[in-house]
Amino acid sequence: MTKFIQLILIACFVFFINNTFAQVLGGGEVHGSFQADAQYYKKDSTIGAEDIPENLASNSFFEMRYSNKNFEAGIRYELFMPQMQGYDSRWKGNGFGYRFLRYRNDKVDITAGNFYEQFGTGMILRSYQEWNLGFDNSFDGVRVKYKMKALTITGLIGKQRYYWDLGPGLVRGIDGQLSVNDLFKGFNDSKTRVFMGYSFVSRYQTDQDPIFKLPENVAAEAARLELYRGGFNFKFETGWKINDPNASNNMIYKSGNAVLAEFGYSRKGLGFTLQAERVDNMDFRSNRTSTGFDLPVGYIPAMTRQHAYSLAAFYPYASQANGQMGLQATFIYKLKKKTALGGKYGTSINANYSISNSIYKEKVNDSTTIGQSGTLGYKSKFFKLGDEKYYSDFNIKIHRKLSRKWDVSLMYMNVFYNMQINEGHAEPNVYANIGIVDVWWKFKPYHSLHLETQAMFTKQDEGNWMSGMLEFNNHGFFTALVVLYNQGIAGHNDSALYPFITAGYTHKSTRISVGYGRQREGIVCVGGVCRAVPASNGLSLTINSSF
Amino acid sequence: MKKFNAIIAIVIVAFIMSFTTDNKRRIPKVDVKTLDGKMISTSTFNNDGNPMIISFWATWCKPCVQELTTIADVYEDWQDETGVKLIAISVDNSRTSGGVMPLINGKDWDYEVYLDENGDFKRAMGVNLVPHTFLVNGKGEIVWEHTSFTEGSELELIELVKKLKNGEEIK
Amino acid sequence: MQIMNKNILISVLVVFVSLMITTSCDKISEPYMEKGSSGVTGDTVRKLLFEDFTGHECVNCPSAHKTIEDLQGIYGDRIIVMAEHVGFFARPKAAPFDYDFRTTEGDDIATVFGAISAPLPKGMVNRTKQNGDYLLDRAAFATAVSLVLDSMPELPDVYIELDPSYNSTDSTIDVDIKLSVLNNLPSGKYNIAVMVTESKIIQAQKNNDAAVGDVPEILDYEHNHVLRGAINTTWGEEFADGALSNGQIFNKSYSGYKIGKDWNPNNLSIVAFVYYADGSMANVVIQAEEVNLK
Repeated sequence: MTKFIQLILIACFVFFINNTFAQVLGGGEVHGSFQADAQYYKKDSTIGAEDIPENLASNSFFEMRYSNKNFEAGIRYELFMPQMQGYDSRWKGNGFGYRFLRYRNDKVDITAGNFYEQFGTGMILRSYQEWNLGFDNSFDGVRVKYKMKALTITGLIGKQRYYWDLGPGLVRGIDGQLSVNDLFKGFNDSKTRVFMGYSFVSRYQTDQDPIFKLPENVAAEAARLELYRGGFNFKFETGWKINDPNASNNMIYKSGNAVLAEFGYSRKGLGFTLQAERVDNMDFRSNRTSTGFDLPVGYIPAMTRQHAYSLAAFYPYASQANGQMGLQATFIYKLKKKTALGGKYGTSINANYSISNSIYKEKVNDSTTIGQSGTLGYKSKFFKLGDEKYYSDFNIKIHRKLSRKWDVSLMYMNVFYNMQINEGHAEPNVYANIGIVDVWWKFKPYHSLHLETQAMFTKQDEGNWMSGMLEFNNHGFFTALVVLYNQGIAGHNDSALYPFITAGYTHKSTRISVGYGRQREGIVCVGGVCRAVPASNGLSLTINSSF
Repeated sequence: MKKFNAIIAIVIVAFIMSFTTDNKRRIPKVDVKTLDGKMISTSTFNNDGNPMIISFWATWCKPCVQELTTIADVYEDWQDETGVKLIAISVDNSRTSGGVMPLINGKDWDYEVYLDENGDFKRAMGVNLVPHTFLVNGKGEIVWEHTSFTEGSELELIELVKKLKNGEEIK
Repeated sequence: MQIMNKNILISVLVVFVSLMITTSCDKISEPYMEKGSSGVTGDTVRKLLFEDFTGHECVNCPSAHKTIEDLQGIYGDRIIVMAEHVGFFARPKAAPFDYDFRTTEGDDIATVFGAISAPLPKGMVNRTKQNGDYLLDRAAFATAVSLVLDSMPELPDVYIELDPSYNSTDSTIDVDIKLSVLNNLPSGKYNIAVMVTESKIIQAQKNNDAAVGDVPEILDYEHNHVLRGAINTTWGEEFADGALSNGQIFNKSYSGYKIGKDWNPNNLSIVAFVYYADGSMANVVIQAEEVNLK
């Protein structure tokens, strides 16, 4: 049976079982979901799209959960045969990548098997899954949560998932989250809410390295505080990691530290947040020799906005866990409806600015260079800025509903992108300006036409880009034509056109879409959802369902 | 051969399961975070016997923000007619969750909003793509769900809510 | 679930947590590097083949070369290095990067093991997979080397003796090889590959590690162990088909191999290694040996 027929067969069965909502087996309930992405590849050297010997690639999964009173069990079957382009080749294969048993009541919650967990903001421990990006660092082990009135304690021990295997490091962690209001009777009903938390994580990995004396137990800890009062909120987390010579910090023995702070104020019609972050040598993994997306234990977020328009998300900032200082401010305001500036329905303004920079580093002593392996590496002054700008981004979006049928959004963005730090090659840094016009026309109930035009102007990298998308929606059916054009830079790269057509249908929780054409890698928002995709040329099929 | 067996296994399981009885499922018990830092269990979601809409969204998901903005324009009318409550679950992770509060207030939404930063509730509900919206009847049973949003879909949603309010079954 | 006395539970938890916290961190104090012993006495010892995929435009490669040097400081001549300049980073460009270090043999080897399109530097130890992958990142070099030289028996399975000679009149190399089997090995095909490497080639090299040299390029970098060619083809030739037993001797001779025009015979070495040609251990190197030409 060909793969396409197999996938269509599965789609039919999924439609079939969706006609019954919940399945009951002996007093319990069974639920699950399913996703299949298949791509037929054609070689296309102009956009760097390769064909593959198998011609067809597919990433699919089928997960099921059985729950019966306090007991729950789950399993996920995954298939990468082979993995789609843009996904790590180590994913190739199929099997059960996730399974767990869980018991929980009001006080205790015990999980054995695979689980995801986050301590605080995730600074020293965060395991999560992003299927569309091919990322899964789940823990395989045991987790116990104990909930008291004001205090919740979580303890875990396990190894992390490494494709179809487990990472070598053994991770142990404990976290306590305290609700101060619940601690004192008088404070219980106060308008001010205070939360505190502390976590400790340690990784054990043997030292078989003949060159370096490596620490086998590497520990990290973090403390956090959250304050809320009326429209104000303040969040703060600080972390520290003991000497952890690893592949990404060039085997230096310096300890690491990080600080994350956020201040916000909002009331009806207005919202404002200011965030600041400083990270120094906090790349913490299950395997000290891993790099890239492999086996991270902690999560250091990029202090930038996550964009949904493809050209705005063209140059995304890659968070530097080993050294970055960032600032981000967001301001959202709604001009009241029925006013001169606001218009009939009101106008929404969304402005954001972020900047990320290197941290200051100086030599430890005269005979050691900065970052020299087998030494303390470097010294750093907390408030001093490094001399390299990594990224900056100013964007403003205005949205107004003109009438019951018309809806318009306008966006302007200005971005600076450091090529070397974000992509690892020495090309000139990018300065770009982006303009976007997004219009919806609901000409009939359940029918709409959506036009999205984007333009990016830059003298660096590949030059200017333009994108136009026209989408037609009719009840659950959609069809869209996307044309992406790269002007190119004379003498540097040729112009390129990326036409792509797609159509799909959504019925309740099942969605099927088919696409054909050239796709550049990046974020694509079409047919009601947003996804990250790799470069491809050919026919693609996606099926999504839950039951 | 292994691949073929796996496909057969999936097909058989799905087939068997389709023969089970037509009982409605309830919202799984998971902890989510309120906008003022408290962890509460999803079992506390209730609307005094009125229907509830649970919508999974994120600040970076355009169709999600569009769906919630479109509903916000008619939410008051919906509430007056049916007493429905919309619970918006944000799946923004710690990178973007700071943007939830300003967006909610900046856009003037009146929903009950919770944070599901590490996706625990999302996983328990089988949500893979956002937006994913669920309709819960007065008895706390999930009777309908839908992924993706396009302008006009909110009309279908309010029709279903009205049906529920009138005591009709949803197929 | 047993209902425990709350106080006992809390005290147990506190003790457990404090124990965990105080014992789960290793603070290392200076010196951070092990003081290695230089080499092992005697010559009948297990030696490994370390293939270093590199290129003169690869900015991270000098750091890898330094790591290999550090390992040689510990293990001496038990590590036999072959630097293969391959792929994107080895292409000749405008001066001073116009020298062509590449060889068809190196490209063939890199293609088979995936290094031709991999981000460099990458290393390979005895053509053995580590965690499912032939290619190693710099941080994993030391552990992989230690796995062979410290964890496996010191006595090699096959002892290689090389006797090369150079004819200056026609610039050719002759080499006599004696293989002494010291351990019983399973039935299968066994190959011997004989290569020529050159050291002390002074050419430019891109660099981003200030501890190794000038950044962004070192104009007079000393390129060592550069693979120049194969005396008996890239994949060598079969010397046995069947089981090998302790005591067996195999002799091989090659003569008249003409060296390249700009090769310096004073800096040439002969590198020979025996490996499994088929079966479940296909490609895995059993023993390597290196002898200077002059």
